[in-house]
Amino acid sequence: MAENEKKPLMKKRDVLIVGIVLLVAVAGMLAVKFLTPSTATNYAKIYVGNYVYKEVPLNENQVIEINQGSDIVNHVEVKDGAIYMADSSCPDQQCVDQGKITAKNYEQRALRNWVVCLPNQVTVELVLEDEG
Amino acid sequence: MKQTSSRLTTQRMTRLALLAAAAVVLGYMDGILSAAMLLPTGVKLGLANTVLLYSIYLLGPGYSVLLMILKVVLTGFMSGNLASAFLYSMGGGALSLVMMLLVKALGRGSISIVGVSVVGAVFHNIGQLLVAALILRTPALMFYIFILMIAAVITGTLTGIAGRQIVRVLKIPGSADPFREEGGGNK
Repeated sequence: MAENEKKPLMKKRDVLIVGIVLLVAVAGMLAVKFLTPSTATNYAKIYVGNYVYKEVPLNENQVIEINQGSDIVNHVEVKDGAIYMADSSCPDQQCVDQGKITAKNYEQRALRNWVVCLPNQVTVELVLEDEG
Repeated sequence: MKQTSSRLTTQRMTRLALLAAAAVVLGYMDGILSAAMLLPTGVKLGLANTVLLYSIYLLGPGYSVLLMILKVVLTGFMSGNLASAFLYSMGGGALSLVMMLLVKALGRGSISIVGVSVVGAVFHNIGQLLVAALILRTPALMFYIFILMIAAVITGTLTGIAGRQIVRVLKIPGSADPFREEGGGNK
């Protein structure tokens, strides 16, 4: 055909279709990525001594202060699905060094789903509710 | 002449048989090629779709539905796993064909064969995954659709361009210009 050369490979609407499909795909992937962790109701138990001080969901960022008096204070922070000891009044600071626990990394951690502050007797346990 | 009468003449039957055979063979080659190119599971070139595009543009909706059903049934027999393979490809084939016919009709020439092909590829995947999610009862499978959609855009564009050339070269003598709706405007 004569107009073979002149015709563009795709029309404007074709490009529009491609754009819409790609947009939906990328939006969908992002939605799956960001919505899935928040729908799972993972939470953490914070113990002081032998009893549960507080249970906190991992889907909202917050800082929990555990004040036991006599300048024994711990701050546990929840941020973006991770929980960790933000600071502690203890001398060795090992609990702070133990870093963050998340639903994804706990299997690689030495203490798995725990953060432990022995001097202050504060422990944090991540509880997974995924497979409910 | 145009396919005004829906009677199944010998010529039409032969044409349909040839196209069905081509679609089955291309579909089979598709599987081998996709495996050879190490494409991820579920991603296929969709070569058989060029045949369907051909029939949509040159033979009309009726033929295309028949062709799709023939292809699905024959492929189902070949795979040796009639029940599930049949359901998967029927879900993909039916949804894909309906959407392609719809887009072509609604596009009224402002959407070219490439756009129709992309829509077909995307909805083929959606249809198959819907059936799979229903059969396996795992709605979580649906997240895979977004990856497949991106792949479908690429493969759909390629098969659409191939389909356009095939429709041009293998035009049925005496039939109307398959691209008449798209007009001569070259921009």
